[in-house]
Amino acid sequence: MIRIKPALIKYSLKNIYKRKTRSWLTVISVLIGIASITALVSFGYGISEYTSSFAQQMGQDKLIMMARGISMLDTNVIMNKSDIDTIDRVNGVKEASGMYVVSAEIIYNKQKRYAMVAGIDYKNYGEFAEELMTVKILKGNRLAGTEKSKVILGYNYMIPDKIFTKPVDLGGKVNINGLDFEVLDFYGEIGNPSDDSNIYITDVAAEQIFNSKNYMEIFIRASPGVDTAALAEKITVDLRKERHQKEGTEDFFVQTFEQVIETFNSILNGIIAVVLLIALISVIVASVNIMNTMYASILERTREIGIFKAIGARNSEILLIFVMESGILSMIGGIIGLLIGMGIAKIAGIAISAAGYSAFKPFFSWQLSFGVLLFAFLVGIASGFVPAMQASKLKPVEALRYE
Amino acid sequence: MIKDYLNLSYSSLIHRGLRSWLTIIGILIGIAAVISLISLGEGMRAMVTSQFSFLGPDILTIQASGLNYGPPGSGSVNPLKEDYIKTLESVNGVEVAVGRNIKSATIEFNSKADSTFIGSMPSGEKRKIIERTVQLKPEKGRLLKDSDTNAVVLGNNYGKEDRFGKAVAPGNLVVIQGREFEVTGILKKTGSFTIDGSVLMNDADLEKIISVNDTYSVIVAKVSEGSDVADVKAKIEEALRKERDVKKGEEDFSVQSAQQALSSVNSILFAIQIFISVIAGISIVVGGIGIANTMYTSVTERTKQIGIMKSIGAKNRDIFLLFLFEAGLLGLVGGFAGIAIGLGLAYGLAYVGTLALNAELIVISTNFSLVFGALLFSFVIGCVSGILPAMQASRLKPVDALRSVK
Repeated sequence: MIRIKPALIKYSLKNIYKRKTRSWLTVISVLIGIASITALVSFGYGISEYTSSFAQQMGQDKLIMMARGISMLDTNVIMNKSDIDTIDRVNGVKEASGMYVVSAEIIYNKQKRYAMVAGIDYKNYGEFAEELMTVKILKGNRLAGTEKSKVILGYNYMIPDKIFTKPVDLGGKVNINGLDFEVLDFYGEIGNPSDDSNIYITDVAAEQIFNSKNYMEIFIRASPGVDTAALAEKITVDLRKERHQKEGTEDFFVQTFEQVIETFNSILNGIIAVVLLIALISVIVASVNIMNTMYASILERTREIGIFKAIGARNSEILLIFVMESGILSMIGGIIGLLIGMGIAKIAGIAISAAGYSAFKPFFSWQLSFGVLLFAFLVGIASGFVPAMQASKLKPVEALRYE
Repeated sequence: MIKDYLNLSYSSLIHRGLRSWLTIIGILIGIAAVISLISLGEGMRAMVTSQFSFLGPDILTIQASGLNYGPPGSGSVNPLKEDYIKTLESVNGVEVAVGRNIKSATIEFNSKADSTFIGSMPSGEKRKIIERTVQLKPEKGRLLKDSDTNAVVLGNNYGKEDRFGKAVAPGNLVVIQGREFEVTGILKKTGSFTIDGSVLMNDADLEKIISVNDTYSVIVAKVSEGSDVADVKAKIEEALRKERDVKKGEEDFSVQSAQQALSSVNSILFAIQIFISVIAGISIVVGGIGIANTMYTSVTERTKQIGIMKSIGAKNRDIFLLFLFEAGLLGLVGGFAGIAIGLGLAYGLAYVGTLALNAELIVISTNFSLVFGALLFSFVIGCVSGILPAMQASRLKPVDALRSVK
């Protein structure tokens, strides 16, 4: 049984210290790869953390019906009140509400922008919609549901230079598609520039002023305790019947939000995996460097190894000395790399959120730190193993004779 | 002189065979990764560029402004009107203006549904112009005629089994937005996946299933030969400003040349490519550190040798160059091997991708400047990594060096 003796660790550390330049270079080559992996993974974690927080805030009782297809604003799939009636009749549905979306031209202070305007049934389902969009009203002035010339604006409208140079004032007027609307309130930050630029009006206003007839999506809430995935299936069957469509030829789909987020996360994981794979290349190169350093180190210490063996060191002990040495080198690289990587991620996160994507922030967990360190250590051990094997198999007499 | 350096470097690299190889492998991994990723990226860009290639340099695309999340014109606030065509054609330098509607729709066949884009086809002479500029040719059946009603031509993808589990053939009936249409032809492959996956039907047919209210999603203007494109573009903008009653600088429409349309897509792809190359490039830096490490070891090992060289008259500069050259050589050999492996990898991956997707998606072309640049870069990386060790070697005092023991 091999035991790691303190004397062996001390010997390894001494050798690392003695060959300072080479040790440092090896450590640096490991830390570069580890730092980039840390930064990338913490961002990936951050994004999936953001989507999961969405799921949590939304609760697990919600479903969505949307048109199948490629484009959001120009679908020719009809979704209207009769679909809501059909959905409401399904056993297990608590409530359902549709949302109109219009692309509109917004003028404020002589500046012209384009934005999405959502028409929501504030009278009956205002809180439901807000819960779904995970927005919080800032001052509490919710639309009552009948207003035709009042709007709630997304967060970015109150920030100078985000959408308009001058922030929009509460109670001020914005012009949407040629008509003046009074700003009633704002929603809090969602965290991405597209959602934070949305504008919200009542469904009545959307129908009468923008001539909306076709919902872009229908939100559904399940009754407490109902299995949402099974409910989605039931709603699909009923809608298909009502719309006279056959299975496989539906022009719509019903999904639970968990499914929506799952789809998103699987795409995200795919992207992270590819980027991570590319970043891993530098760790492979670092591992080659470690191997090289260890070969050089062993060559230099051939006589020493001979002496060790002559005074009774076993092969396994020699192996352990060198494997430990490369493991320690790599571990030091791992620790420094982890810290640098976290620093880079922090700074990049600040820069990105300044650009309006506050959702993109790194997320650090002890699992990540531990995993990265373990990985660095394992890489060190693996790269040191072959050279260490060679060292352990040296014949004492020949090693002593080596010059 | 250089030959001597080469000989000396070569023999010392061979002498430390295994370690030299490891150093070279360190460099070649990074170079191979960067080369293959850049080649694949370039291939991808070429593929995307080809999507726009049917838009010649003399074509201007006019769209109403809005949020564009879908096909052209889908999010426009104030759509383009049918009667703009006349206005545009009266602009000096415009040979012809053609309006088209591009709408998303559901298409059904063999009891399966799919989402698609429908492109409207104008009638008469203008049909010919669209057919020519977009290079529409039938693979099976024929293209649409003015006299066709309830008829469609489908993109090449529909002629394959994977869309509906069964290939669509001329004479078949497909259901679009709940209405039956007869397929008159399947288009030849264009390589542009928007066209290969879309449906063409006559203007009048489109109006039966989707209300377009005398508007167009997009208007394409062809600049007459000999006219300056930028000049015509300015004139069109002016005419449309008057038509839509907007001031200069407040336009709610855009007039784009093919180059502009391309450059915005290209710049996004370029940014992605740079990001990935930088991450892959990190490994070259790590490889460079490997060279520095090897050179330091080499200097230590050859301290005695350096002492001898100096005592028989070698100058600091000679020693410096000797080690610098050795480091550069390591980089260069790594670069050569890396390029070979990287290109092999890129071609291999593109081949596998072609087999797996049953389509010529990515075509890799060996970019000479990329190859040359990578070679130069690997040599420079080698030299830069060798500078400090070589300086250390050149500054050794002959007596100390001779006295040194390993």
